[in-house]
Amino acid sequence: MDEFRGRHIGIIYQTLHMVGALTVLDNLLLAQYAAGLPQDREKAIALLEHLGVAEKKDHKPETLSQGQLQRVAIARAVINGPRIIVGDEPTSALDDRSCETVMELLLQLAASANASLVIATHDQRIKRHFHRQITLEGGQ
Amino acid sequence: MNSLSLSYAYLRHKILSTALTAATFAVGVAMIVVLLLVNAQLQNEFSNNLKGIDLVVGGKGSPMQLILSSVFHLDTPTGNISLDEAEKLSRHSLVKETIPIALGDNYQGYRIVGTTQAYPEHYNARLKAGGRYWQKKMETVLGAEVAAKSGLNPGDSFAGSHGLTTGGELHSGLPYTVVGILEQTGTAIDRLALTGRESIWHIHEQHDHDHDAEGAGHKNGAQGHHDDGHADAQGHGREITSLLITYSSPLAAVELPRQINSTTSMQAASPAFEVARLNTFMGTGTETIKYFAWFLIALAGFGIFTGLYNAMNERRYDLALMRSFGARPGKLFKLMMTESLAVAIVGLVAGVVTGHLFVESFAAWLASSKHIHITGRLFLIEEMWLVPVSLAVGALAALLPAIRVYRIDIFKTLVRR
Repeated sequence: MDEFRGRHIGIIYQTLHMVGALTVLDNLLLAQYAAGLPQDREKAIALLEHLGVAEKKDHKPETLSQGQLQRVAIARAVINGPRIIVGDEPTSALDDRSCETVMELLLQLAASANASLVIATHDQRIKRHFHRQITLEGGQ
Repeated sequence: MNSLSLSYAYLRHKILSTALTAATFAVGVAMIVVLLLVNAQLQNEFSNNLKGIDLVVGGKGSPMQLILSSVFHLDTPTGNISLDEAEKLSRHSLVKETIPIALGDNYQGYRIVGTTQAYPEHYNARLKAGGRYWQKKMETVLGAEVAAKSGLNPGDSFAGSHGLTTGGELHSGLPYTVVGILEQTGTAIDRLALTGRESIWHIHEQHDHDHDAEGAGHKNGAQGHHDDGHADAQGHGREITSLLITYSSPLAAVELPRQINSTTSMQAASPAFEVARLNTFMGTGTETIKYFAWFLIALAGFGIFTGLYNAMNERRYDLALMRSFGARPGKLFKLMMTESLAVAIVGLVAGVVTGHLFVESFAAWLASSKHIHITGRLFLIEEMWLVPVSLAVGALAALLPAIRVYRIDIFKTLVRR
């Protein structure tokens, strides 16, 4: 069950939950290690490059900006090639421009990995990217 | 990445608390090591000195004092016994070997002992190359420590001074000549100068005559008892300080001490018995320190425990995150065990090294001031026990936080932040 989740679902948390003791690169490798998958440094670095944060790979998360951390969190969510990428308010802390960038990256990564993208959000800005929406009304 | 490199990253991230925990653990281990080393070596020196000495016969007084003065050469003697009586005892059927001990003078605080060659031979002492045993009066063989400290070599001569401690009157008219030096034996012999009994008698006969000439009577002075010999012209009435006896049969242990104590003016004391008695006095102290050291180790274990527990608490998110990435609880359990055991092993190694270094530096001081020879360059089998004990403490400390990880609610932990 744990490993199934680790391999098939990539999760981006609202509060990004970076591991402070590890470098950015190791945070990605941690996801592979935890899921019991082989650790692919090349792939992790390529992913960070793709997201524009490769130069930070040997830094601790605390030295990164919120936007950079967001990208690392996305990289970590997709590194195991999940079938479903789940995002919990991935854009709520971002300004309009970053919000656009993040959404573009998410959609692009989801498309290239042939994964479904599921986002829970109240962020009206990103509504237009989704062709299926479930609106929860009037309650908990 | 594996549990080892991950543990390392976490421990390094919190280097200060890691170091403190390991240091506490190391102090506990070091204390145990010091205790084991010192205890084993003191016991060893004790038993070396006792080797094969079944009974000590000397003047009436405290049996403990008799043993300490004649076997360990620490205390002042109880009083003299007559040579005639001692020799009668040597011919007793229950006695296999006797070693006479005649004290009286010292050289720079090292006792000059009038004895026979049986004494060094009993302790398997060997002469260094180029030396020989005494053959006539005023020839002496030095123990290893005496030779090293005084720098005397065969052929050199020195004057003994009266009494058993420094500061006594010098017998400058009758110098001793060094004829040999003994190898280190790990017994009291190392800090003695050995000579024939005749030398001691000779010196003190001369001595007394000098005093008589001056009209000053001389008897055992403030320096404590010693053998003046007090022989008359025929050599009768000579005295020695004590006699070390080896039994010829186990039966002697029952028979001989009682016989001596009740029928002669001499006192017989069993070294084994007195040392056992001494141990019960001092044993309380070493036991206390030993318990204290184990207490420290337990405390260090508790330190690891709290350190780890707090670290795990702070890391709830990290651990929950790893779970959400698919890490099985077993994997996290392994991670925490690795971390705790790593701290325990570092503490263990540091403690063992520190303990030995401490004893080694302590040894130099002990050797110069207390004439006790110990070394830190000795590894005991007992120290091996520290390995499983340390690992057990480390494992125990990780157990409770590790069990909590099994119960962790991933969702709640990650969302509540």
